[in-house]
Amino acid sequence: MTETRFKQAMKNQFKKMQFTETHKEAVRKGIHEELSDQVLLPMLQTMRSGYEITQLLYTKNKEIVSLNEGIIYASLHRLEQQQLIISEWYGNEKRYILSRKGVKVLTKLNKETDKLPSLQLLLKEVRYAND
Amino acid sequence: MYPSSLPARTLPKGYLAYEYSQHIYTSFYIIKVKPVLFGNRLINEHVRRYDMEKTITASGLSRDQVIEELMSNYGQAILQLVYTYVHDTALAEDLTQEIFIKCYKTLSTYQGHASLKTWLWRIAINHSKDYIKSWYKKNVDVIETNVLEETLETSDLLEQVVKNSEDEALFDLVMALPVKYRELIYFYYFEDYSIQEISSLLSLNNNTVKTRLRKARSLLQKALGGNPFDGNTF
Repeated sequence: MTETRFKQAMKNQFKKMQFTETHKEAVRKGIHEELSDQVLLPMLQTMRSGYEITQLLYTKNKEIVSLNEGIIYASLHRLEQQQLIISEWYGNEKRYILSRKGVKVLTKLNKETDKLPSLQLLLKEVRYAND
Repeated sequence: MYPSSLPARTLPKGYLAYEYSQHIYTSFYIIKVKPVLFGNRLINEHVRRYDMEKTITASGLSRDQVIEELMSNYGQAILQLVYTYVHDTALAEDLTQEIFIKCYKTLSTYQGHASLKTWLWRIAINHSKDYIKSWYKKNVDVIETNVLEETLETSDLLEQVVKNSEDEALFDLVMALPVKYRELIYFYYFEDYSIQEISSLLSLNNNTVKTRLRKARSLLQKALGGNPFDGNTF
């Protein structure tokens, strides 16, 4: 057996798996989730309702938020699924706050952004300005 | 890839547009560069360091676009690389996605010391290995065994060797090797990296790489009763 046959064997096996547009979409989705986490997680250090969060984000950027209110609730739901936040009912309203796991993730995120220059620092300022 | 496709006027004064197709240099020192026309001036001097954010903003490329390019050019290769480590298609797909997301997050820390491809490869390798380590911690009570011998003794693989073509058998055997041998076989024989490139990629020294490659080949030789990579010296 020679190297070329080995290469061919590997190539044949690798044909069975393809990096497709679907995978790229998943990456893009992951990136958006990362970005929204960077905004939402710090806000959830105190207990807030979905409505409160929407209002706070409105003060930052009206247009984007009005088009994307659904995404905020979807993100909150996802964060709860990922066990990064926990929810409690207060009367008719559902409120959210970071879980212990969420606190750990946020701490890690903050450490990472501490290493980053310019734009990330700006983003950090914006986040803390919400509180 | 990026600089040569950018019209010179989008770069602020002092940036060097140069033809170096495969790399995007972030904070970069350009030492030996083909003299290039920038505006009307011929520039062949050293350039100051610029950090990643400035370069990207100046060039009009967003982080998203960089990741898109990386996915288009290297998505398939990374998927194959990860599979070599974890031996499971669905898992390899998940990890590959995580790797690109990791890239996005850490793109600002890329210093330009190695090429963007090498940087990406290192992230991929480390991510795969981290997964394997944590999987082992969770699932395996580690006892020192010769993995390959054990695998051959259990019926399946031996039957496979008889049934399948020799090529597939070789592939299966390589996949049955312990990771540290498997990855070298993959890089040396499939991706055609040199010993030097492999040692730099994996942070090993050359002799370690050579020794391990020899060991890997001898393991396969024992299993197959013949050296599949005959006549190969490093």
